[in-house]
Amino acid sequence: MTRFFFHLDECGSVTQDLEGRELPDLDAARVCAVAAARDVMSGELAKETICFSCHIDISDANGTVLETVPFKYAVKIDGL
Amino acid sequence: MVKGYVARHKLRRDGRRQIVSFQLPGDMLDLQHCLLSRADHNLQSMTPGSVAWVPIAALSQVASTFPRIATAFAKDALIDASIFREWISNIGTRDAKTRVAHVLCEFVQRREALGLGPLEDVQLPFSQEQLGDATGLTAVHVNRMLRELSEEGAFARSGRSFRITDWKRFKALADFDPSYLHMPAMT
Repeated sequence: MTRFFFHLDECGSVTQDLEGRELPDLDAARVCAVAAARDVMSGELAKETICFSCHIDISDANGTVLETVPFKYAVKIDGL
Repeated sequence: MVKGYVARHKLRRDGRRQIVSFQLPGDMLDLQHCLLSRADHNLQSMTPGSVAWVPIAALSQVASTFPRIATAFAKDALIDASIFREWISNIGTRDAKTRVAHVLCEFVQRREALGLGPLEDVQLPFSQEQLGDATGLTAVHVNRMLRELSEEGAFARSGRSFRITDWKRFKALADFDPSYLHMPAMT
């Protein structure tokens, strides 16, 4: 298990994750980040506006960004 | 529970966890099995701690010998039920920010009433993930809501350290009315 950190970047306004979460690998971390993106967007949806420019940076304990998960890749929109 | 903090939770088949309550030092964790034969949920320690074990037979004996103790046990269960009702409405009717604030408010209030620490200086024994499991949110979302609450003056936060300088403001942001806790004397 490795500790991954999930930093929320809302168009430049960053909420640092100081705790992180122990997960088996980066694939699992990505799943976690996608779920988090959808969850944050759910909260925004209730308040009318979702921003697809936001993203989550997955980093290791040293702060190195391992992968970026953009909000727009966490959803599929039909019927527009 | 002698020392430490515990959560009651239910696990889904896919591994998702719903924390249904936090228990504090001094709580009787399992009066349930004096009367019910099946465990319908789990107890999980959130911190290192110590637990005292009391045989069910002895507990039942004490309750049947001393009616006022039996009443106290019943009252404990009824108050637990009230807290569960509030947790249901918390998840069902409050937005993410208010949900997180409410769970924190309740914890701080209960802790203070037990004399475990002042309102102004709280070391939260729970992780963002555990707060998330208690509120139906992801840890990232919880973290974001904590930041928003701190920006709105609910508290000053540094990791798990919370300094509450305006308790009234915090309660207002949390939509928190402590009467459901049925506590005798409140701040």
